[in-house]
Amino acid sequence: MQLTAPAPWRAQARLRFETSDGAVGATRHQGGASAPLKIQRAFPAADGRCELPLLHTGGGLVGGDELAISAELGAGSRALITSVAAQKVYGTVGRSRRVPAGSWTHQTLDFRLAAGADLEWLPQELVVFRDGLFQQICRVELAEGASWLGAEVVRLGRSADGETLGSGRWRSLLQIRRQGQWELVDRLELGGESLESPHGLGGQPVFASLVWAAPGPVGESLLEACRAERHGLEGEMACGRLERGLVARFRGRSTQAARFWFTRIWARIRSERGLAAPVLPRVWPFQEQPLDQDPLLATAARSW
Amino acid sequence: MSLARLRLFQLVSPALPVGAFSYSEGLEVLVQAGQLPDAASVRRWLEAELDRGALTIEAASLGRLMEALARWREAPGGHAWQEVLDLDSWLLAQREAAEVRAQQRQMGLSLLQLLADLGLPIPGERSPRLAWPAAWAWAGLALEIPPQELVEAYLYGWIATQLSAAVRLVPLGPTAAQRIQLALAPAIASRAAVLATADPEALWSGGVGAGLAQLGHGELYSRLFRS
Repeated sequence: MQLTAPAPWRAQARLRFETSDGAVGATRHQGGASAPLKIQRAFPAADGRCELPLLHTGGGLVGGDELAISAELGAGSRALITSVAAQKVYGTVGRSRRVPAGSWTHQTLDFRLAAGADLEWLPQELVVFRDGLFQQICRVELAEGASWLGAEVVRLGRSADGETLGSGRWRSLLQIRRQGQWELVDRLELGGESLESPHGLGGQPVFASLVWAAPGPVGESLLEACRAERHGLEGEMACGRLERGLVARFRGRSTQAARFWFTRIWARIRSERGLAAPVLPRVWPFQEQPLDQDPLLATAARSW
Repeated sequence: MSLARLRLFQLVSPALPVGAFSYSEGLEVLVQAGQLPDAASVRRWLEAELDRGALTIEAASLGRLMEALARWREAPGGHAWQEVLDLDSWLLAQREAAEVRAQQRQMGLSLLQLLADLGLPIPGERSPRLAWPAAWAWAGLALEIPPQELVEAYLYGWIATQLSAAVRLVPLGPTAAQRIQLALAPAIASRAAVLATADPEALWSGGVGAGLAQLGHGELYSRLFRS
C-alpha cells in the first residue's frame, strides 16, 4: 500500500549513432541520459550493429513520470536499442485524494533515420498495474532506404495474480513517416470496455505489435513465412502487408508466445534483408530459445 | 434544404454504385470463427466500432476534409490540396490491413468517378485519387450537405453496409438487421454530434480485435467478401 506518492521523474536519453567509414564500418554511438535513465555499455554485434541497452533505475513508473528517448541514426548506421528489464507502471487512479482521477505516465520516443540507416527498437515488455495510466507517443522519421523495426509487448494488469487493469488505461501512438509520406499511423487505446469486448482485447491480458517499416514493398512469401512462425504458439496472431513493410499483431495470455513469434519474425526479416541472424541481446534475462522449437530454423538456431 | 436532404438520401442509398457490398471489414473472419453467433453480438460489435473504432477518427476528419476541400475550390493554387492529400493518407495509414486500404481506395475512386459521370465537379488536378473518407467529404461539399449531417450519414452508411454483410454471413434475418439499424439511430446521432466537432488527433482506437480480424481476412480459405 502506497501512502504518499513519490515526486515524478523527468528523464531523457539522447542517442546518436554513426558509422565512421560509411556503410561498411561498425556503428558507434554517443549521447547522454539523465536519471533515472541510464545508457549501459554498448555491445558491438558481429555485423557492425551497435547494441545499446537502456536502463531505468527507478524501479517502475508512477503517474506524472515523463520519459523522453530520442535517437538519430546517421546514414548507413545500424543499431539495436533494448531495455535491461521489463517496465512497470504503478496504479494511479484513486490512489491520491488530491488527484483522484490519477496522473498519466508519458513516454515519448523520437527516432530519425538518415538514408540507409537501420534501427531495431526491441524494448522488454511493459506491465501496467491495476489502475495505471500510461501513454506512449512514438514518432519515426525515415529517409530513403532506411529500415525501422519495432516490437512492443504490453501486459495490462498483473494477470498471473488475477489482477486486471481496473480503471487503468494504456495508449500508444505510433506514427511513421518516410520523406513526408505517412507509412503507418497507429492510435491505440485499451481500457474500460475495450478490455473485455471482442472488438478490443477480448478479455485477454496481453497485446503486442510488431511493425517493420521496410525500404520497399515486401513479398507474399515473407508474409506467409511469418504466418507459419505462429506454429505451436498460443494466442491470436495475424499479420499483413504495409505499403512498405509489414505489421504483426498478437492478443493472448502469454507474453512469451508474443516474444517467440516476434523473435522468429525478426529472424525472417534479417534473413530477407541478407543480414546476420539475430542474437538475443545479452541483457535479456530469459533463458529461452525462441528459434529452437522451429525445425525450419534449426540451422539458424544452432549458432546461438 | 429539401434538395440537400434528397441528395443526402441518394448518397447513403445502398444503390450508390461504389461497391460497398463486397466488403465485410473483418466480419467474415469473425463469423467463420464463431465470434458473432447472433443478432446481439453483431449489435455489440457495431456499437463498439461506433464508440471507439477507427471509424470514429475518419468521421471526425470529415469536417477538416470538407474545409480544406472548400479552400482548394476557392483557390486551387494554394496549399489546400496538399492538406487534403496529407489528411487522406493520414487516414489510410491508420488501417493496418491492406485489404481495408484497398477497399477505401476503390470506394473513393468509384465515388469520384460517379460524381464526374453525374456532371458534378471533381476535386484536384487530373484524375484525383482520394480514399473513401476524403471522397465522401467532397461529395458532401459538391451536393451542399451540412457537415454534421454528412458525418451522421457516414456512420449510418457504415452500419448499413456492415448489416448487409452480416445478413449474408450470419443467421441474421433482414428484419433483425433493420431492428439493429433502428435501435442504433440514437447512438449514431449522438456520436455524430460529438465527432462533427472533435479533433481527430485527440481520438484513439480501441479496436485491436477489429484489426486482428481484418488482418486475418487475407488468410481465409474461402471467402465471399474482399475484406
